Amino acid sequence: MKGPGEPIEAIVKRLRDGAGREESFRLLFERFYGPLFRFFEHRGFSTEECQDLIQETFLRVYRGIEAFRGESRWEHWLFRIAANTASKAWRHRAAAKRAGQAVPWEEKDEEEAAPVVADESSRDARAPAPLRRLLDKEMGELLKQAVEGLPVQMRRCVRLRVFQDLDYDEIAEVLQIAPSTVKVQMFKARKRLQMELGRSFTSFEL
Amino acid sequence: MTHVGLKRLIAYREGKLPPAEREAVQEHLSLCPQCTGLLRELRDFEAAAAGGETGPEPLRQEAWESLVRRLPAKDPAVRPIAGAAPREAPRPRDLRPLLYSAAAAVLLAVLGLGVWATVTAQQRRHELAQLERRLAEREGALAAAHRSLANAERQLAAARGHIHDLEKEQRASPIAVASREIAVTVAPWFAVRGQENSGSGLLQGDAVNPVRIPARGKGFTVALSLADHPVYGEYRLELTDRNGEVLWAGRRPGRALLGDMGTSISVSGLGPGLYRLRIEGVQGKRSELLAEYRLAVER
Repeated sequence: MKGPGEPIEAIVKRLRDGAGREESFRLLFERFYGPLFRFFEHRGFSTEECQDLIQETFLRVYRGIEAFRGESRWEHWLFRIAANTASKAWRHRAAAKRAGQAVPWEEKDEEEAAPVVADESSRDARAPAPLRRLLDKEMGELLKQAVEGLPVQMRRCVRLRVFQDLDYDEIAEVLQIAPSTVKVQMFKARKRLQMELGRSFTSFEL
Repeated sequence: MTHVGLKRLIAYREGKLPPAEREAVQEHLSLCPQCTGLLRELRDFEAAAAGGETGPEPLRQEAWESLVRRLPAKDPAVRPIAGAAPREAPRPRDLRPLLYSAAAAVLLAVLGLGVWATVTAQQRRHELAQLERRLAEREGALAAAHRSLANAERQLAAARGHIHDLEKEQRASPIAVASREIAVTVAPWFAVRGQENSGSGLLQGDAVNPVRIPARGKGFTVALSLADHPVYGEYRLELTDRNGEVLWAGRRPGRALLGDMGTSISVSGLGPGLYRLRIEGVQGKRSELLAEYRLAVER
């Protein structure tokens, strides 16, 4: 089955084989333009920059399609190319800033526009609301110490909830476990932390 | 803290990591918002692709056309495709868009040519009007110059006529003056003293202005001052009227006219009017006109 509903793997195979290359390339572009636009937009690029970066990504795909051997999923291979393209654009922008040049991209709020991979010092400033509330009550250190004493999976669930502000479904996805497992782990963690921290833990919700 | 890295994170996402490495990645993810964020981006990307997210339609078409232009030229396989949806199967090429485009191009060219011609004609008309205006100004200035020149010529002619009249009047006026006495005009070479003049000096005149001698005089004295001029043995004096008729003539020996004493000549009996006095030097048979002067007798 050719066309919009055709499986990605078949389209990619035709593109690699050179048979109907024009149509295959166009189909891939049509399928992944939207996801790529969302990705670059989420990274803080302007609409015009998104357009350029999408083209750059597909140019790399076009040139390097022979390097795709099917060891990983096609969309993951494409995502790697897109992420590298975005990182390169960020490095270009940072270099231009250091050189005092005009930066072609829209200036956005640093926190909003920062790349996903950031340095450690910015962690506290971007801490999620539950953690900030704890810090305000001078309970952060106490909680951290208590969390480190939890069992491994329970500890990871609490960290993702408290320090990264993820909900249960997101925690399950990151840790590749069932949401119900996360729920159970969090329930147990809450009990243990309440026992350890006593009244100090009453204002905190996991 | 070393980050997981995208390749490893994808392997984790695809469940391809061994258990120990998977544990390490999970531990890191629980501590690292950046790597967790990257994992979530990967998840969102998958979801958007699976959900058939198309993105903004006009921008997508624009990006595709731009992308095709950037593709390597050596591969002619990929060319811009009209419309957002890819073709299901090859179809006979529709030439209508090409014809419409060509017709539109011709129409635009004709319109553009018309606009260009109109604008150019307006510019030419404007320039021509300016030139005509300048020409009219120059012609006006030239006519004014002609008028001024003619006026100046008229004034010059009038001035010349006036000068002529003045000269004529000047020549005629001494003759018209009536007097019972005789005045003598004096040349640079000699001087004439009025006989009845009260004065002590010599009366001198020139070719234009006669010397007026007082009316009381009965005669006059001629004295020559020859300076470096040769001295003659004899001098002849001749007094004529305005018509050239000789009224009196006399000869004086050499040196008799020289010096202040001069020689006395009676003018009694002459009526008022203009007369001339000729003085010639005579040496043997040779004679030379030394001077001829106008004399006016006043009333």
